[in-house]
Amino acid sequence: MAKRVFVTGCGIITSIGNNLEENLKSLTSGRSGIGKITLLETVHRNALPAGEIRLRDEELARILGIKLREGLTRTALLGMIAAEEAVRNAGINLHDGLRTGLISGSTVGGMVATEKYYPDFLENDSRNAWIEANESSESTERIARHLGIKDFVSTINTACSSSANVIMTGARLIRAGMLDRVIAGGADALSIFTINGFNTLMIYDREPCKPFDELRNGLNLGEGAAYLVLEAEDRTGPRLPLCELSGYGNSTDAHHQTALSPEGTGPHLAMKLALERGGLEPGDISYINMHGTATINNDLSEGMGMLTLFGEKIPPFSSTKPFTGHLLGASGAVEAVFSILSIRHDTVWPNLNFNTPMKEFGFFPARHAIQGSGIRHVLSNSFGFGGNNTSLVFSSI
Amino acid sequence: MKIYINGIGNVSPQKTWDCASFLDEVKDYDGRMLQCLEPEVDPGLDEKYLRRMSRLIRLGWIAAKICLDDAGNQRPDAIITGSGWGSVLDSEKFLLSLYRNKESLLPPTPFIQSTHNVVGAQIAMLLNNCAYNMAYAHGSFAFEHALLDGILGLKSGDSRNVLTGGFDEITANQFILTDRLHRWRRQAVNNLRLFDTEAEGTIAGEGFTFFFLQDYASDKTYAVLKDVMTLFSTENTEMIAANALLCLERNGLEPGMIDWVFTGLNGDLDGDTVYRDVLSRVFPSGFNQAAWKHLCGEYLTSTAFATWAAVKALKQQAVPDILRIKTIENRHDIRNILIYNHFKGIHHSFILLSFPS
Repeated sequence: MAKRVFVTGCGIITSIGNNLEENLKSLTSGRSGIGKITLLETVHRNALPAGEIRLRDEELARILGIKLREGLTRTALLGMIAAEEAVRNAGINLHDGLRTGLISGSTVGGMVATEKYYPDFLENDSRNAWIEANESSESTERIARHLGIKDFVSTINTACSSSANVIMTGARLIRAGMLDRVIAGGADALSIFTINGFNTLMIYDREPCKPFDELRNGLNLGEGAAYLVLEAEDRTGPRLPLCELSGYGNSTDAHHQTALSPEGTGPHLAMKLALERGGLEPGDISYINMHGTATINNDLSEGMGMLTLFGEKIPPFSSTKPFTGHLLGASGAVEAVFSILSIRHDTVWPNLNFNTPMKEFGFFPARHAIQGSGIRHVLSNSFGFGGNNTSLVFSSI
Repeated sequence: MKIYINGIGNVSPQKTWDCASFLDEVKDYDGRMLQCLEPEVDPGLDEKYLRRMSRLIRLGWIAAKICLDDAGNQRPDAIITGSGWGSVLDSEKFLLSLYRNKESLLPPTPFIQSTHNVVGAQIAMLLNNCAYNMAYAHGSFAFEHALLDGILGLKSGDSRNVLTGGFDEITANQFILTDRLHRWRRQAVNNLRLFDTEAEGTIAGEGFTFFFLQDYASDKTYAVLKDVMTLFSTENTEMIAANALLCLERNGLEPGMIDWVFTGLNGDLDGDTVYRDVLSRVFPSGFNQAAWKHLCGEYLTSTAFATWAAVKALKQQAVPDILRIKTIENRHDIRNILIYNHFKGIHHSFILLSFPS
């Protein structure tokens, strides 16, 4: 019998708060972090809104109490802040002899530096300290060294489902008995590479994004990081877990590199697998934190997948991306934290900016926070380029 | 449960695409960078589609296709890739267009193809495969963790037919960048004489190598994948050696039972001494030593090439001369091979392979 996996701590930094408490406050009060870009150097500053964290790299380093050095990326700084909070929140001692892993997901990674210094990289030696940061493992290694984790260190990059896959992988390693606990999550900073990428695909909304709205017009990017502490059920000692990671499922849509199938084949399969893993029926799910990027394609496909699985009985659902923007590789972990907060505070988070129901569906997302409905099982969806779909189920204990 | 390697596919700077031959003909290069040969195989796709593919996706697909054909199974229930650098050329293209066009009128294709999981995703699409799909991206551990994921899946019963592989591409620009970090030799060298000269740095390389893992033996079985171990940020030689011994011990093996050690020697003076220091502790009475990087160059997932070479050696019961560094005892049977690689002397990995019996 495989071990159960508990979540015993979380940490988070996004445009709606630098820690758990601030994020919770913003979610509760309905305050969005999407606005004008003020720090990142881009020609799109006045045109494309984003969920930017209004702290310069120096200020992030100050929060960590470390010196800002050449080669230390914003991605790594964000990751270190969230991972550190997760460990503190769990109340674990990382040097107690238990086998601890760090797995992190990132898609932007060191690109935040590469995009600034690439001409120098090619022509001179002035920015050599940043060249290695270009490798996707850079932020993970910084976090591992910052926390002193050595037993197992890995990085996953499946685009926008990266950190959901990280959480699943962490759970699998614990269930297999390979590790006692895993710090699992992801970090991504805003970058001109991704802003221009999505803008070029014509799926970047010039207004704050409107998931599941008939008039939705694309996504806004955001930045941040979030990490969970996952522990084997027999390793938590007297500490009380926040919840259980009871299910997970991954599938491929196999339809298109950047678009999901209109029938929602992959999303449906991922959600179905996650429920099966948790031994749950669709009727058990109290809330779905959707991937809900607000692109025409995602919301239709995800909605169709949900419809296929849940039929007429659609549970309350919402996308929290109007709060934070789409955090790409970090979105799965950020939304996992929001799902856990949903269980802990018995609240369905609102889907901001929603006005007009989609013509394809007779259902629509939660417009306002729903409190006290008795949330037991929350499904959290994350889908990425390449049709990579992952669903996680968090359950109250 | 035993994990069997029942199919292989390898695209490299050598003629490795034919699964039946084993380095019968070796290509030598003078330079500081080795690139893959275009495999002489039918990729099973129409010309138009093939032309649109990036080189990374094309070579990745071909290596996977060779592997699937070799295994006689086109329906993996897990597709797991490992790549240290991911989609280098497309990332460069998009980056350069950002500069050139000042963030406007950019071609979307390089962005779309720049994600790290693009090869695994394209394989799934071409196979119309909706199964588990994962992409590991941690530097010199990327391939090892892809293998490990495959083992986990098979052992838990979540999967029964795993396609897993490691790959990295080298480009002219990426070579310039990494050359600034003094990873490569200052002067051109003949790859087959890489170990004859002692100097700083090595030669850059690339490769695309896939394996088909199953929980049962087939008529194709090459080897049993016994164990994978990665050590993060460990410089203490004693500790590395102790972990290598642990890896053997938990598989019921003693150092004397390892018939060959495939080491990641790359001709870099400092890096190569690490192998000697660690392995002299693990094997105090000596060991048969082989190497592979002179054939494919150094890249973050070159242990996939090593795994290919090791499973071929187990299947054919012979280690070709071109791989041999030092033979202290010519053993009639090759039963166990240990692959040991390190990156910068701090990240280490071990892969343990055995003759299927």
